[in-house]
Amino acid sequence: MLLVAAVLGLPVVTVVVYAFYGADGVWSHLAGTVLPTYVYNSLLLSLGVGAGTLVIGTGTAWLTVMCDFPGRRLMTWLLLLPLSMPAYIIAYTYTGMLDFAGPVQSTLRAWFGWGYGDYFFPEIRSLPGAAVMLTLVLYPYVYLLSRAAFLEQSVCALDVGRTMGLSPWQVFRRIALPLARPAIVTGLSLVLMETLADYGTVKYFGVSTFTTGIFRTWFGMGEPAAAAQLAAVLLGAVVLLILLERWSRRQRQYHHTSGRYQPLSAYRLSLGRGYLALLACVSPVVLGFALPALQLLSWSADTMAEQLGRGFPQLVFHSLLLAALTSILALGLALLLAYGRRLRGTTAVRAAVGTAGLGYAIPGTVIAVGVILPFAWLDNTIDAWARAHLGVSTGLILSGTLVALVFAYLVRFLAVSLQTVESGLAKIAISLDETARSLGANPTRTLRTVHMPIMRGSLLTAVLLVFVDVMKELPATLILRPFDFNTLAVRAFELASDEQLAAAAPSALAIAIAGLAPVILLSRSIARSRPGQGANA
Amino acid sequence: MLDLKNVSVSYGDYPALIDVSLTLQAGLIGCLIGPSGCGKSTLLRTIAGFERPVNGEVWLDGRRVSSVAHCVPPEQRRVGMVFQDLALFPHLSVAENIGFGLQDWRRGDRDRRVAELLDLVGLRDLARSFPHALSGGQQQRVAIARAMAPRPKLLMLDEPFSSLDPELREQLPRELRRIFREDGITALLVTHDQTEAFAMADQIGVMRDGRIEQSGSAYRLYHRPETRFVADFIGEGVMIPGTVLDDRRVETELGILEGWLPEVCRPGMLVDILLRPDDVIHDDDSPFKARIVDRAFRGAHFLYTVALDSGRRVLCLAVSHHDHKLGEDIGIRPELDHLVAFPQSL
Repeated sequence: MLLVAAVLGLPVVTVVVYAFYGADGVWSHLAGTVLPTYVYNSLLLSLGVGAGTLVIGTGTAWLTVMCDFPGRRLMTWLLLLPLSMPAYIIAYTYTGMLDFAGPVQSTLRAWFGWGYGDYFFPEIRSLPGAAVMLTLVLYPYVYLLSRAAFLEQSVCALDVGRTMGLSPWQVFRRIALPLARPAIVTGLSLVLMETLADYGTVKYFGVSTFTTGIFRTWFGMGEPAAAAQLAAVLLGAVVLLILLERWSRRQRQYHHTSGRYQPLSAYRLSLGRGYLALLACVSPVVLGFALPALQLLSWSADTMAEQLGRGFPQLVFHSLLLAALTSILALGLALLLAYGRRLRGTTAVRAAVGTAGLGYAIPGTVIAVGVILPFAWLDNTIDAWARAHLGVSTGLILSGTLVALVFAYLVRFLAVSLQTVESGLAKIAISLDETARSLGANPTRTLRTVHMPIMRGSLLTAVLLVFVDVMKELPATLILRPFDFNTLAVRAFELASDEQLAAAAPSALAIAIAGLAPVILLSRSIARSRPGQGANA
Repeated sequence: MLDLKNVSVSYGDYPALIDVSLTLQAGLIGCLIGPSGCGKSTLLRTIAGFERPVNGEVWLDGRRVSSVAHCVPPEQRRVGMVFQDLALFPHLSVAENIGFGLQDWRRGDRDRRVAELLDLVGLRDLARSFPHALSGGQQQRVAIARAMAPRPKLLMLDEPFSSLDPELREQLPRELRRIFREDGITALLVTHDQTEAFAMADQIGVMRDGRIEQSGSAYRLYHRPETRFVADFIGEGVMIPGTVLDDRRVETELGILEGWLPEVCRPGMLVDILLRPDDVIHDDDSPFKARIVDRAFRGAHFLYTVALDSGRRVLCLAVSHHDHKLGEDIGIRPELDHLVAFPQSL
């Protein structure tokens, strides 16, 4: 177990070590030239996305929890839909819709009779544009967590506020928000981690951030060491976020008020206001999901036939293969780690499991850098040994194959399945283990006959979540895939980068459809936790 | 059957069990009683093999199962355990739950054993039901049947009745005692409720702060407590101070009490004497008067709390037709056949 954790921690260690022993010349060059830009852009992007997701996420959560308006129940889960869209996909979809020849500008010109240069139209391929794109697909994190927090809040606390004559707005600002703050911070830190990890969107929009910088330094300038140093800085930022999240989670226990669950009595809105609320909830869904999905559909209709002929089935097969392989492996490892921790919760084991779970926070580019460096070294060592002793060249048996890619996926996504498996396990009372043991079942049999059947749902969820994450993953796939090995995500990104937006649509659509699965899963679990309905169970 | 020799268990630096020794003969029902946090559940878990002693040994049926150097894993001890939360497997039916520990048995034997236990606990009709569909008492019986199924050498129950409603708490202990007797089971249970302990156990160990203060029959613990804690924890009663006159007389504000005294009590020594409610008789002719400050009707008896002239309060059990009002003065008289005395300096 410690071994598993150590191997999974390898990429991070590599990056940190390189950061300290790398080539200094390139680093000072970077620091003097592009580094300030990276920092500035990454910061600005984080600020924009943070503010955007905060407003949309908490706002819609509050509306759907506390206000009664037409279509509220439907909105509760519709609001999750944008989660299924990878940011880089809506980025290029919007580019297609909003550029000069796109439907929006063409229509405007047709209506008003404008010509080229007659009018101002905001450039979508810019830093603010990237911030909007990321906001549109990431706000559900804040929405989900703040919604859960609002639901958890004791009705009493809110009702006390109302009896004291606070207006709904005041109840929100002075009671609900402060109570939900730890959850909101958690959601926000997830959003910021995703923002920092994003490669596809910023690359496509030509915004220079750390992730694109890592790519350019390595592949453009051929400086892996400097790239690793950039990665280390990015890692530092992520660690800060993790600490922030941990800290806010620790605060959470002090924020729990009485645990009584009652149906929250919603504010009844007048008809006009009700429709305003509906509009407020519908717009992020339309912008973040419906519009891009429709655009992708219409493009796909045009190019599907042609694309199907050009290796599309193979792309699907590659994506599915990687996703299936990784999700099953991740489940096995997660079971091993989580159950090991349950059996023997020593500090060392706990720390090991904790480290193994950190991968999700680490951007794919950083992991890719951290994977390829040690693997390449290992390959060269093996190759040299084989040449010296066997007289054959083994070539790149690790770094040039799926091994490296699947390993990187595991490092990054193990946390997802680990968390799901752990929360499933945590729901099973330890006395069940001990009963099984005292009835003569050894730990393995206990796991097989007691735990696994009971938490079948969690196991499925774990597989599904990792599966979809792998389908969507872009930067690590770009770096680590074997030569000529393409997946849906890679193809969609490459075609889009070549301005063949319509041609990229079928791949993008396939990813988005796969992405719907966990969203549906989430929305079902949300429906079950509706206030007053089995919230105690 | 069960033999604990100077067992100590620690959680980190915190000593949960200190130098515990205990024996339980085959076929008897033992009970550990004590306030929460006294280490009684830890003791069960140590016997079951979930905790490892830092000192001492656990012997089970003539075999050393726990020592500092070696611990037989729980699944190889043949010790049945019923947990406080029952821990029924939610995905298995009643019959499957009971059969869980019989995986290695031949199919026919297993089915027979399960059927036998279903009959024993009176749940034959519910064999195919799932735990969530059962009442609390039924779940309890499934848990016990499941633990009994593999014929364990020792059956242990941790607070087996705490989750039941009062009526079942009265009835189940008696029923279980019958079942254990019929099956010749050696059992050890943990409780903090002395009426349960009295109802079930042949032998009771009173625990406090990780040690066994005293163990013996219920009668002995009640009438011959060896420590103040046991005197206080088992049964009701109060201590009144007195001065030792000689080896069998103590002078108190209720007159001179007579009875055998422990050897440590020397003439002239200040001691506390335990007065159980049944040691104080209501007697209108008695020279000692006391004022009733509280009364509780208990059906056959009244339990009066009365204040002596000194303000000290004692309990007095009176037959229930002696109905007196609060504030009334009544005559009381101590009647003890033996003295339980603790030197005040200790």
